[in-house]
Amino acid sequence: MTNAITDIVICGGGTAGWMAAAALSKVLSRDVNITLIESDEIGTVGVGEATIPPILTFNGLLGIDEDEFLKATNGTFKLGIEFVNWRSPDHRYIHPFGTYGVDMQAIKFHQFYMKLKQMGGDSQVLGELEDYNVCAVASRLNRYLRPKPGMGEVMAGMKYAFHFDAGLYARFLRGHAEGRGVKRIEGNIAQVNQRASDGFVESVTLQGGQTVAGQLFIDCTGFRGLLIEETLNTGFEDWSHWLPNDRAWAVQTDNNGPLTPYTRATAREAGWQWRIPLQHRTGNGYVFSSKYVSEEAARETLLSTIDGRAITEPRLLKFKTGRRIKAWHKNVVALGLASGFLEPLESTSIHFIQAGITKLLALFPTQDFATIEEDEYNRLTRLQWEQVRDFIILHYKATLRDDTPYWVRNRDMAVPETLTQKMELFAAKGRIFRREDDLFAEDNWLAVMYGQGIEPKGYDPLVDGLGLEDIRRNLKNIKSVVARTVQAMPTQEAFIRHACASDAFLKSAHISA
Amino acid sequence: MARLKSILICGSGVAAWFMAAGLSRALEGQGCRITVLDDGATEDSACLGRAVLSLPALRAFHGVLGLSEDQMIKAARVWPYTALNMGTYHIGIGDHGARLNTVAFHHFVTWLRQGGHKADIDTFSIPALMASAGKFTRPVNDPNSVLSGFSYGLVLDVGRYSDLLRTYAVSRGVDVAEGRLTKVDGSGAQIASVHRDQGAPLAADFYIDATGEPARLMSAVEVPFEVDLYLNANRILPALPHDTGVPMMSAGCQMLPVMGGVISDEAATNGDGRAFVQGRRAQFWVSNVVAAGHAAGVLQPFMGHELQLLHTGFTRLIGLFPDDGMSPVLAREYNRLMTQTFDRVRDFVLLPQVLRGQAEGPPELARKISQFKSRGRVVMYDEESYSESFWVSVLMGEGVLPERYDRIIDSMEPERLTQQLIKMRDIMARAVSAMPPLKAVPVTSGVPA
Ligand SMILES: Cc1cc2nc3c(=O)[nH]c(=O)nc-3n(C[C@H](O)[C@H](O)[C@H](O)COP(=O)(O)OP(=O)(O)OC[C@H]3O[C@@H](n4cnc5c(N)ncnc54)[C@H](O)[C@@H]3O)c2cc1C
Repeated sequence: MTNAITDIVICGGGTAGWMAAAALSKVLSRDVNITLIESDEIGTVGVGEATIPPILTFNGLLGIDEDEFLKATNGTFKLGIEFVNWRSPDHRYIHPFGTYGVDMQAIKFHQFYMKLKQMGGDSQVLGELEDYNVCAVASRLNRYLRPKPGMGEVMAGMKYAFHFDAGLYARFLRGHAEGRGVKRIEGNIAQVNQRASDGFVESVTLQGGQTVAGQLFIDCTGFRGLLIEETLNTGFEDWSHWLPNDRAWAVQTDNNGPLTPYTRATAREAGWQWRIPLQHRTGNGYVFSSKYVSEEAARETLLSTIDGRAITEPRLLKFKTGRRIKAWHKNVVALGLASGFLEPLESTSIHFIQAGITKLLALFPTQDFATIEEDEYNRLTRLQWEQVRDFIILHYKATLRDDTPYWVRNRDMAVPETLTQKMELFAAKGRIFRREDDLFAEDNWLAVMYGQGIEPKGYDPLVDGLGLEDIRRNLKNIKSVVARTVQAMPTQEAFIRHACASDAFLKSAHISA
Repeated sequence: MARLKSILICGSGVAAWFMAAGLSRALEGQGCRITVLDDGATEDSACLGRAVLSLPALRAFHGVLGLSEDQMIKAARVWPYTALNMGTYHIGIGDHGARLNTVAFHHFVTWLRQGGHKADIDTFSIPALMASAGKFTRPVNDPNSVLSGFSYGLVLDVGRYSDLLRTYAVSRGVDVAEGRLTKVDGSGAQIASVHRDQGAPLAADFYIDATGEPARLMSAVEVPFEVDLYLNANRILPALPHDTGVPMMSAGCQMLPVMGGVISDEAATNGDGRAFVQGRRAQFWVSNVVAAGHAAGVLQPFMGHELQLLHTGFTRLIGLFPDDGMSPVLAREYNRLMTQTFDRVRDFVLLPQVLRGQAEGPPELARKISQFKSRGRVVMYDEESYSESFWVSVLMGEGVLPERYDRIIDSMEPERLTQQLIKMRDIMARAVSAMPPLKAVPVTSGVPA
């Protein structure tokens, strides 16, 4: 191709920048020069340590060996998220990855569960919906085993993701990228130079005077969006009327107690607190709305509720929820925080980076930059952001909490019509219809809608076509197979020690536990 | 809220009996009475031609009913097909080539052509090769075999298919009401009862409108019909006898092994044949009535959408099955899903016409075409009935060659890749030439009487 892109400049070396560098250098032909500029002085946000299962696809694309990757990033396994105090104070539920039970006669499994539950009877025998999900049960018992083909139907329904050290992850990807010829420049971009005729970015100039030119620029400069916003002014769609959190305090602690294979999200009076356990330490943070609690009070709350010794000073991060109206504009594509922000409640930001890279590759431009590529990229990006936004809003809208003004406000807010429809359908008979590009599948929506306390009033009438005794027998059988499967798994600690322990893990105290 | 105790299906033909058969199976053991009241229509309520194509997904429906393919072949003059012959190309049911390095196969065709090779995508399609060589065999289950990536549909005689479903439904206890439908009582926005030319009026908890284009129940609750802005054909003439073994579609003419029809516009036919107007209802489900078949919408014959839309409508209805509370939430979701389903099928029917410059297209279709032209990307929206390979066949078959192929190909070694592709083509050609002829399939002769 004569007008093929030959020079790509990635501005920013956080998670977004290095993910882009690693993927593009792997996929594009060797003739394309990729340069990454990052500034030690500015640094990265340094948070963003919990992921969701599609990251396995990204690792696969890069040809990453999973154990090597976990060792290098102090990584642990994640089977889901435990939500504490969300439905009401003292309530907890798990949003597990993976599937619930086994569908029968093309009817979703949870419909059978709902029927038995609504009929009353022995709740002891029926158990909780979570008892039918292998990830949820393994989470409760801190177990983990890597699923492989041939391990049976229950294990086939198991999915997992990772927790890792954000700084080490970027370094790990950097190794891959540089190994494939990505050139790294350390320096602070002082100026962005645009072509006079059409405003396309031609080059960036560093503080020392060096100029780096290219045809395609990837903006990974974090919240500020140095190219996409500060230079091209593409605009921002503010979603804080739905999601009012605008600050987070982050602090790291020593590991304390067993290594849990899940992220914990605990609702607080004006936000929520994350807990992400790694091999050598735990990441914590309080995401809150400064309208409802002061920064000082939030810091106090965080420090008084962490369950290990703090090993860093708490750090304050500020953000605004919403998305960049055009993540791709002219010859600039924004990835990561530069493209917008949704709070990390469902750990979706790193996935957005990955999805952005995949879309960019599918729509990879030439030097003429046809607008149909830009338009399609922006259309798909908007769809995905809106779907995830709805899923996050659900956690706040569906709550029984009314103990603070913050929770009353959440419960009473008007939500997007698309979400109302989903909640009503579920409330009536537990029905869930997934939209095609929806990142979250039926079982994810089920976990959160049900977990947040939307109790379907009925069940699918088709369930009545199956004999009651058959249903009872099936459920009993599934529950016991799930329990036995998990009993046979090692603890996560044992698994890590055997498969992917980092030096820090081997040195740290909790292995004696 | 209680379970539905009665359902009244108004109409006849494929739409009525498809729903009756499906519901009698899905609602088995629930004590719901299903009744069919004939509307006296002479034309079929879901199919315009005298023969119709099915897509592979319909086999799942027959499987649930417990109808074996042998039974169907005996009863409905069934003929299998693997591709629709479009004159200069085929729309095969199945993949092209094989994915290499996660790149969709058609990108390699673009790559070959840009490199100056002659590469016809049909030669990389087992189902297309089978159709043009008049061969047939059933696909195998082994994912490593070249014979695993395709499937087949059936050519069905509409009248016989309808009778088959009717026999099935009646044998499972579906009632046939006496008399013919005369008048529909719609009180407010819902159906109150249905009158007939003999016997007392009938009332039910839920109604299905299978009365074809007049849509007598939907009209009673005042759901408007929206004429399609892009599809203009409005007449179909019965096809002349012919002996094609493979379904064909050329210049507005559909020929099926049993009997299809010639599709055209009014002027060309002097008012002969069956008239129709293409479009759909503004809603498919309002309060206590759901529309099926032509009562829901009409599209000119193409590649199996008639039965596909019935099937999707049926599956969604089961997925959202109401109780006597008739929550409007269910209808709203059904309408959202079915509107999109219908419009995406419409886009597919329209595609060859747009590419030949005979019709305009909606923005969604324009995006699909321009994305393919520029990148070879197939935009897939929510609720698509036709998978990527169907779109690729028509786009490439009608002469759209993407300006660019997937960049990942550039990181592959060109010499080796070319060899690999040539080898793939040879393997496919050999596999097809070793197959038995289509004529050897033991079916009742499909040549029209
Ligand atoms: C509180 C919080 C919690 C989060 N938790 C999660 C989570 O659990 N899971 C998840 O998936 N995501 C999470 N995220 C999001 C995640 O952290 C980010 O998506 C991810 O780190 C990507 O950041 P980035 O690379 O876009 O930006 P940054 O990390 O901010 O990197 C910006 C880069 O740009 C460079 N730069 C900026 N300006 C210049 C300049 N002028 N010259 C040169 N270089 C420059 C910097 O040096 C730096 O390298 C969280 C975010 C926050 C705020």
